[in-house]
Amino acid sequence: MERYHFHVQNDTSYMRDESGMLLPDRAAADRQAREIAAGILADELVQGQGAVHLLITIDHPDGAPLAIVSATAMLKIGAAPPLQ
Amino acid sequence: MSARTPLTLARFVAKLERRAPLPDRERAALLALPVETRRHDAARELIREGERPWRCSMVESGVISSCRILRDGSRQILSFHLPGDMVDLQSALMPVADRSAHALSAVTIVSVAQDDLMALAVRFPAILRALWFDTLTDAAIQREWTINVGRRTARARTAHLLLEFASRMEAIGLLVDDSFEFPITQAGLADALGLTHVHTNRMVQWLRSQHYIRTVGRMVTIENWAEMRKLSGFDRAYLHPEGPRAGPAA
Repeated sequence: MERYHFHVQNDTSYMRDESGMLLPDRAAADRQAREIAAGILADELVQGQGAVHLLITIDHPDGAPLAIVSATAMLKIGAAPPLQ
Repeated sequence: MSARTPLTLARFVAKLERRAPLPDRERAALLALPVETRRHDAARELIREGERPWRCSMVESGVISSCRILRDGSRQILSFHLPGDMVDLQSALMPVADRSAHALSAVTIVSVAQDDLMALAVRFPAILRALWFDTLTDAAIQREWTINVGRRTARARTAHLLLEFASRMEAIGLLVDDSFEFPITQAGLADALGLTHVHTNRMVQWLRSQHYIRTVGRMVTIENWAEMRKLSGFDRAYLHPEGPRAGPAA
């Protein structure tokens, strides 16, 4: 198990992940990044955001950047077309 | 140097009596039970899922969590046990532990043999009622956690858990000037909320930015109770502070 860190940047803020998470391998780190992205995107949409864009940097346990995850969600509620 | 007073189940008895007083004989019987005292460092596993414990353990000091570890290694924390709480009263009737328990801080535990506790429950109806109500209250808190994880937004979920912790600390005299010690890591809080640790950190930062809470080290201060309650829908009624219904005289 090694400690990976997931730093999140969105349109308004950057949050460093100081504590990180112990994970068995790179595949688990990718899954964790997906879970992080999905949770934040869903939450932001529920809070009323129409468009959410995140950049998640996965840091290798030795501190070097390993991957950048880009995740976007858009939601638009429009008028329904008239019935024919 | 004076000898330390031996520990008893005094904190648990005090918890039971905050809800309903016990007759003198029953109180004395609980306090006279032979106990074993153990001290553990943080992170120590105290109960393992699947084991068959022979004792029931009370938190004398510190905080303990109950959890389940899933096959993929992920963890769901199911409850926090504070001073005076029985970690595993259920084991007096359920032979196999259906969850694990870990020390979240350095802890002192006072344990009694299940057989001794059950013997008192059989002999004294008032003790049986008190133990029953204690387990029912634990179940009520568990129901609220189900709602918290299942239906509340991440912000409301985080606020609700902090308010519950503060209320439970207040009940045992450990809330001072709206502040309490919260020896739970970001990972632990995330696993209690069913969120990722990153999302949990964002929620705590948001609560701070709104001046709903203040954190200094392990100390948390509730700065705006009204807004936290409004955000989370917290209503302490589910903690049943009113105690049990008055029963027939023994």
